[in-house]
Amino acid sequence: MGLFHCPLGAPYYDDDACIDCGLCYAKTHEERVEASRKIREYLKAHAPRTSVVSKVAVCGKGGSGKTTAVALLTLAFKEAGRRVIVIDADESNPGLGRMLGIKGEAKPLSDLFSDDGLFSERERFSMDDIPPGFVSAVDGVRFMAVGKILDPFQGCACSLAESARQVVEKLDLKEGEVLLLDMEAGVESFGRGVERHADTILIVVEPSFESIVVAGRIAQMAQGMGIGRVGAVLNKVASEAMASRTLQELEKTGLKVLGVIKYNQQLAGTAFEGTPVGSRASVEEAGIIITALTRGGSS
Amino acid sequence: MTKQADPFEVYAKLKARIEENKFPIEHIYFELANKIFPGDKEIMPRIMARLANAEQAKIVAALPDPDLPAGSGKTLEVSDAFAAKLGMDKAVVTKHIRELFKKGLVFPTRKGPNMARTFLQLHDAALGNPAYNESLGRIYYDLWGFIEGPMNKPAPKDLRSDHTSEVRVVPRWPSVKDVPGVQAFEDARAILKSRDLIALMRCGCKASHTDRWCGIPDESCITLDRTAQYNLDRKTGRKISADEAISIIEKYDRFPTVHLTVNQREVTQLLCNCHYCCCLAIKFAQKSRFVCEVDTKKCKGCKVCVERCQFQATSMKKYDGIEGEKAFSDPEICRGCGSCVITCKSGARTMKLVRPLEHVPEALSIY
Repeated sequence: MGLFHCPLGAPYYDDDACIDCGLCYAKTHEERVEASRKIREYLKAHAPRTSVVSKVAVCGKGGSGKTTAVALLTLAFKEAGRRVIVIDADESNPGLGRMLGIKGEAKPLSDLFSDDGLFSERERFSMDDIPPGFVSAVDGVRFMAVGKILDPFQGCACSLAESARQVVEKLDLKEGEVLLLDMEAGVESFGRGVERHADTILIVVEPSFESIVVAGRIAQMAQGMGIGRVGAVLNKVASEAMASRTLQELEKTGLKVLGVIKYNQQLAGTAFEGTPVGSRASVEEAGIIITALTRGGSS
Repeated sequence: MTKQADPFEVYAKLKARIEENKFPIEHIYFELANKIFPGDKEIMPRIMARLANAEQAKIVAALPDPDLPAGSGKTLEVSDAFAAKLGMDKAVVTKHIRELFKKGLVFPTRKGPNMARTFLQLHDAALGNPAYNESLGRIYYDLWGFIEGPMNKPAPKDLRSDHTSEVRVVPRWPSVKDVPGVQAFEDARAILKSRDLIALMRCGCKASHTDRWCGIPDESCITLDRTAQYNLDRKTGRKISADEAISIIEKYDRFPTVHLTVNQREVTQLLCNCHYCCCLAIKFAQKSRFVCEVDTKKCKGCKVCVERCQFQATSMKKYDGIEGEKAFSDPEICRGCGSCVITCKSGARTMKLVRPLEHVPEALSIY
């Protein structure tokens, strides 16, 4: 088979991958220690295989601007050449579809994952497997919704959250596809483990004490789940002073800030109207966040 | 699984077979053997003698080629001067080197063709190619097997508490797929899906234990990335997709196999399917982050798990307040391989996460 113990995967000594650390022919403890040191240094200098950003859950305190952030990121990812799939996993608020310019309503994904649903027994599925009616598309962006609580006494939201969790876990993405999830406000989804199979958590933080506290909690939970890439996005920032104050507080949580979306009249206007995102500047800010993400931004 | 054999009996028979088949060895083979296993006058020289004929031995002893132009890159070519010094036709030398490459004795290194540097490298490379089974003969495989000693189960006291190892156990994925906190580096499916390349080949270790009794198919060595490419280049492996690899390991659920890989988070070369009757590495493999647990209410006392455990962690015992004997796995000995969990028909067994992330180092830095 080759050289079994090579931590760098060189199948034989003096292969291209071989850095001549000496581990495979070390005879004394000192030689092994030295070889290990060389390996660690080499690996630090060459970033290890980081997983591609493919399943991004956007979280944060209610009202922090998650939906707007998801809409901006959608456009920015599209510009970066990815094929975007957006899932509205928010059980109450219906704004995301409108913001993306989606007409009409998609069937709720929870129908697929109910006890007698089509996907109730499936281990995995891809976008091609999803029956028509569940996926809406506009301008190359595909949109799905988990479902909403529409009626009083409808019951608890467990089945909606469970559907969201199953989608994150079982959806197989093709190369170039990226999944963006607009999550339920706060930490409820984490308590249910919805994000476990996401590879990236973006926490939207607005300049408020509560928002920062929630961000810290989310970060802790994400790390507890073993998700490697967790970052914060500052939203609705109206001034430099506000930005630096919020950043200061955020630093205490240890959360890495990937970018800032400034408060922007145009953006606020469209958020109010619930119409397609109308601010070019904001989309560019989102683009900077994506670059920071894919360069290995994690906390 | 074929009938379990007594490892010491098997070893005694192996020793007898080797004695019977002792053949005289020319001096040059001692020279070659000394390069990687100095001092051994019986086994390694004979292994070399089976691998390389007289002409090939001469070539290997003269490698590396000092006259190879600098910057040749990885190659199996030699210079004209090298062939001339040996008094051989260059085409003949090249042909021999290519055959030795296929056999796993010579490698296309940055310094030109060169012999294996270490014992382990030779072991892993030179046991993989079934195309040479006949010419190497059973004795060749027996010689390799003999070096490892009797293949008995690891004894409970074999691993110290501060044990370090270059290989680690990867749990059988059905046993851990629902445990919260499972990481990609211990999820066999995630490991296979994140590969650039996968090549399936004959397992060398199994080939070297000609009397093995685990029943695991020969073609059970899953090589990855660069190692996969190496084996495709010398035609000892066939390319498979991640999905095929996953269904192969699923087929092995009925065998008490243990997955082993390099003891670091970044899996580099292999995902092995090991058994104690044919793998030495399993004896000192580092535990996974899991141990198994038994729900005594569900346990029916069928004892399948006792048989399945390769580490002697499992036995039947009388629990207080519970009638009859139920299964028990010692968490100190259990290495978290998941073999007993996937075959428990009563669903009495589960895996529990008991060690932190740091237990599996980022890079193989156990020293």
